[in-house]
Amino acid sequence: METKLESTQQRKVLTGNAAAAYAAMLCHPDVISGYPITPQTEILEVLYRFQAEGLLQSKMVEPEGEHSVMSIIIGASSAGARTFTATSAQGLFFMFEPYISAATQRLPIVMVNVNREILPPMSVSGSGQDIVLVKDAGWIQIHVESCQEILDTIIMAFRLAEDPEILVPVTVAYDGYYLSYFSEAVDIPAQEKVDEFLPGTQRTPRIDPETPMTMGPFVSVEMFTEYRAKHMAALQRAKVKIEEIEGEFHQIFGRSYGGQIEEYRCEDADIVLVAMGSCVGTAKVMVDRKRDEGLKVGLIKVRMFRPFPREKLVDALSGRKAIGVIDRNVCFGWNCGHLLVELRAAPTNYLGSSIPLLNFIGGLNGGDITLQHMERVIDTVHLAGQGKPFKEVTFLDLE
Amino acid sequence: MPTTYDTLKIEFNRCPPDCRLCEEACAREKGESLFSLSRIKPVHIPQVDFHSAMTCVQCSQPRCQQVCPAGAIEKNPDDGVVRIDESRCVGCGLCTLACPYGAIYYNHQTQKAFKCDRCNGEPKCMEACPYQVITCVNNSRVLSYLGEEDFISPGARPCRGCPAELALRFTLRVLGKNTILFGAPGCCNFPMGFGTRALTNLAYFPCLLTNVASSMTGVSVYYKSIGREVNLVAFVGDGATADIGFQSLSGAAERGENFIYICNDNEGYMATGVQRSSTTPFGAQTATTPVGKVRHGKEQNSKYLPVVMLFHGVPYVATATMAYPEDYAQKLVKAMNVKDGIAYIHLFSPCVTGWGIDEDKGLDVCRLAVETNYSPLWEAEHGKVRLTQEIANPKPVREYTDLLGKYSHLTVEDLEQVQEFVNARYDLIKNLSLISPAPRKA
Repeated sequence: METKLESTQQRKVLTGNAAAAYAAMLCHPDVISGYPITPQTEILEVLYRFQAEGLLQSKMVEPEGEHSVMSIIIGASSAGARTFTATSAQGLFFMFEPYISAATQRLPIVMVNVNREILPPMSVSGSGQDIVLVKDAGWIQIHVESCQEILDTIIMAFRLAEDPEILVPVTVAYDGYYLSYFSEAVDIPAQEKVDEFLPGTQRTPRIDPETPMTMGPFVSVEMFTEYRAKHMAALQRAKVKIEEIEGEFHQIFGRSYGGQIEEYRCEDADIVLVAMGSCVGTAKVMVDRKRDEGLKVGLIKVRMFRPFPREKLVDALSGRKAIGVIDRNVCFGWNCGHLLVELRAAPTNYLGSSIPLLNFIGGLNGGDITLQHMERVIDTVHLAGQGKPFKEVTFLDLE
Repeated sequence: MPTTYDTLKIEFNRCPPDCRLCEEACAREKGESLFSLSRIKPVHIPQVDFHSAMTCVQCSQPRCQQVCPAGAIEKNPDDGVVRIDESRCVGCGLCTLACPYGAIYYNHQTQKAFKCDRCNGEPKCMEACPYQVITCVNNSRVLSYLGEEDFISPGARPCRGCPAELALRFTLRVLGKNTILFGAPGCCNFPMGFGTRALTNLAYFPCLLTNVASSMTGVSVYYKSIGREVNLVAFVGDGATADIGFQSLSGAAERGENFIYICNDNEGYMATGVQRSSTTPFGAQTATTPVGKVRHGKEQNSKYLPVVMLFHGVPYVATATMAYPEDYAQKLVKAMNVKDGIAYIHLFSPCVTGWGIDEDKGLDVCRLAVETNYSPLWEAEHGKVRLTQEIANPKPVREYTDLLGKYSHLTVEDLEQVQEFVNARYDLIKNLSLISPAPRKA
């Protein structure tokens, strides 16, 4: 691909990974670190190519594994650097120990996870399984749907992470293969526009001999609990903050994605689908077709998976006749997908148990979630909404 | 920075009764007819069988100088001798009263004070003493490496007699304030303190047990990119270094990251209650290598990490121990000057609690570890190995193991194996020191 970067806005056909790399470059990270893993590797490769062309001034470190990647990012961020990294699946799990520290240290790191299946059985294919397993690490987690949204969300993620009222790291997650290697036209904003939106200010270092402090010492039960409560409060604030930031982004760049959730044709919908990631596009197509057939169906895209947009979802889902939840992952122990678990936890008080909640699990190990699948999903949810008996969890690829 | 000077050292109670040879030599040297005008005074108290001599010790902050109303007394910064300028002395005698050693005298004839000037470097009393009671010593220049400030607060809470605490205080006084200290879970993590009460006033970065070298990499690459020069130093245990944290250290070494990494090797997981690590030596008793009917202590030899680091090709590797503080200080200074990679220092650091050592014997164990060649002191600058303390007649390792409870069960055969291991390790270092590798290109 072409690496030439112009100061004016341009439109290029980019893979999702390349869009992520462009976004990272536009944000001028001081330190970037990464380790090769499919399907994330291309981000690193493109960034190294940018660096080789003199377009990217970041210090780049390629250590011996993802555990060191995240540790390097933590060290640099603690010293005041803007940092960026990316990984997938096993890499995410290998870095899990410092990944938690990054959040509980409240470091404004931005990271991409290119969602991939976990193994065994052997797989390097796309899936939503890896990222949901780290949902409780204290990070903000944003799931995106298109290559353009990847680019835009990474830029917004830096603003969100570095906001003095937030200071929580952000993972931008997108499906491996379906978005990582999928090429589509992407508007690359002009550098000065990005600079205007995201000033390259020097962040306050946590570790500096001139203002000596100890990072994260032993503390009392009360101090520890207060610290956790403040972290959780920051995550709550992030729900509002993401919408403010997106509002600003929209003013400058003309694009927005709904903040915590995107509601698609939900206004008068009797039944609503809830989904995350790349399958949302497919769902939208089928929602349109079903709408054409007169079925009042809508769709909610969950963008922000952490913090979980509980209030927004309660509002959006209340009063529906049935809800279909699509999961590209499984939740061991609950016998369903993670999004369903979250939805069950979130709105039960408000929704009541009378609204049928149906879960459809598909797209594991790189499997397609097709238009036919979506049609079946909508039809099944529709029948449940009419009071017909339904199966709570359906494996799309087993029927 | 404090500086040390040569000083006359007089052994107590080794003088023969009524001997006055030193006094005589001094008076003669100073052209005095009276013994009483000597600058050194024999002290013979036969009632308590005490026989010695007193003279000026050339104090670093002389009380005589402080009380002199005429400004006649000064300590010479070059040779450290405290001298009286007779032309300015007003003969008040205050200095003779102020000296805690009784080492300034008063000449009633000239009405001037007088004192030892160490014969300007060639003390005649010392030459005259046939019993070697008087010697001129400068045991150590070690103070010259140390800054005034101790960056670890008093009342830090490692076990009593812990050589690691001493080593950490010492290390930081050499490195100074422009330092970020990196720690990891374990005994050496105590500077973090509790809550808002840190036990160090340095910037302290407590890492995970696994990611010391990679956390340091992050700080290092960013600081380098913004042109900041700061001592980045890890002071962490053998678990964080040789075991679970080794991958990140090995990776950082290969990448040529630039920081000082000190492994405080107490040969096991001491903070968690004394379990084996890969640096626990053969035969040692720990909670996970206990002594029973069928097993007695660890069955494997230890991993000798300094050589592993040497073969990573890092620009500086050294071993050290607190019984040889000057040796250690010199190595720290070299480590601070390394700009092209990791400076790795492997500190032999006995655990008084975990090894079964008397609280006051920690440094004796350090010394014997070197004198038996159990822990040879060496350094390697860009791969060139040099023993920094050659032991002419190494003691049998038994003298070392006898001090340690963790070895109390060793059989004669076990001891032979320990000795063989010690010999092999020393031979390895000795042989490496005979090789002169081509200097690595910077």
